[in-house]
Amino acid sequence: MIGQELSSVDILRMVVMLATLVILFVGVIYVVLGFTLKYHWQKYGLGEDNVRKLKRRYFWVGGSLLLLMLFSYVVILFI
Amino acid sequence: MIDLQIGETLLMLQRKHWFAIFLEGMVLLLIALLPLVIIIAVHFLLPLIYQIMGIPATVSIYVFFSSAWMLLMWVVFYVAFTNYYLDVLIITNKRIVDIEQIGLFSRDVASIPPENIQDVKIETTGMLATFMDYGDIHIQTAGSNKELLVRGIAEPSKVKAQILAVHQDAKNKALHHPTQQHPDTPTTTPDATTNQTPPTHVA
Repeated sequence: MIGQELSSVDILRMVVMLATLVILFVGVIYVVLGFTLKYHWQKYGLGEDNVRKLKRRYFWVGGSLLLLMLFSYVVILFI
Repeated sequence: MIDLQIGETLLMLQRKHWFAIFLEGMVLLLIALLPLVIIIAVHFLLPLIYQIMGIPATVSIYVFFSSAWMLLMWVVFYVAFTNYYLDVLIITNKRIVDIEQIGLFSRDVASIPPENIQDVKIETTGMLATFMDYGDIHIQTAGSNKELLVRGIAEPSKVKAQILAVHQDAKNKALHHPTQQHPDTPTTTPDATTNQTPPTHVA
């Protein structure tokens, strides 16, 4: 690469590599923390209704963002 | 959050003021919206990026990293909320329990018998704390754990009054029944261990 100019293909390849790492990192954090938080809410007695409400919000908002991430990732992959 | 002993009644369960989590939520919201600020700031660079990458790729990359950032902030907010919700001060007729959730895997539970309390001090500093009615509460005890500090608790004067009432009650009981054992003290008689009913769980 030294002495050569970066082409748009090279940049896109680097972006794809970075995006793959990001998706793995954020996805794992989201899933693992989701289960950990659920365990905490249930263990320390937040009440069945509260746990259900919190769980629903966490997974709906987080899931939508994760889907958006996956969709844009696929778009980047196929460009 | 705690299991009540036999004859123990819950008098008060107090959390930190809602303003604490509101403030934290607002800061996280601002941080989550940072990609929007960045896109406005680099607005003048966009034509150049469009030229190199093409419009669909630029938009997809931007959407990808923005949603990843927002998801991370969403998770951080939930951790903060769990920390807020699990930090409680519980006052019963037999003890004062301070539960402090530190992060996700550390939990500090301190229990004080009311007769051990020596002094209760509340500290409200600043305009916001005064108007929103929250502050720190210091509970001085006679035991090895000399002082218990609960930060940012809602309605500190009400909590103080309740603690002092429980303390006074315990003192009166000790005066009238000086031989009565404290419930925290382990009993060794076989009758006391066999006739126990299961403890009640307080949510």
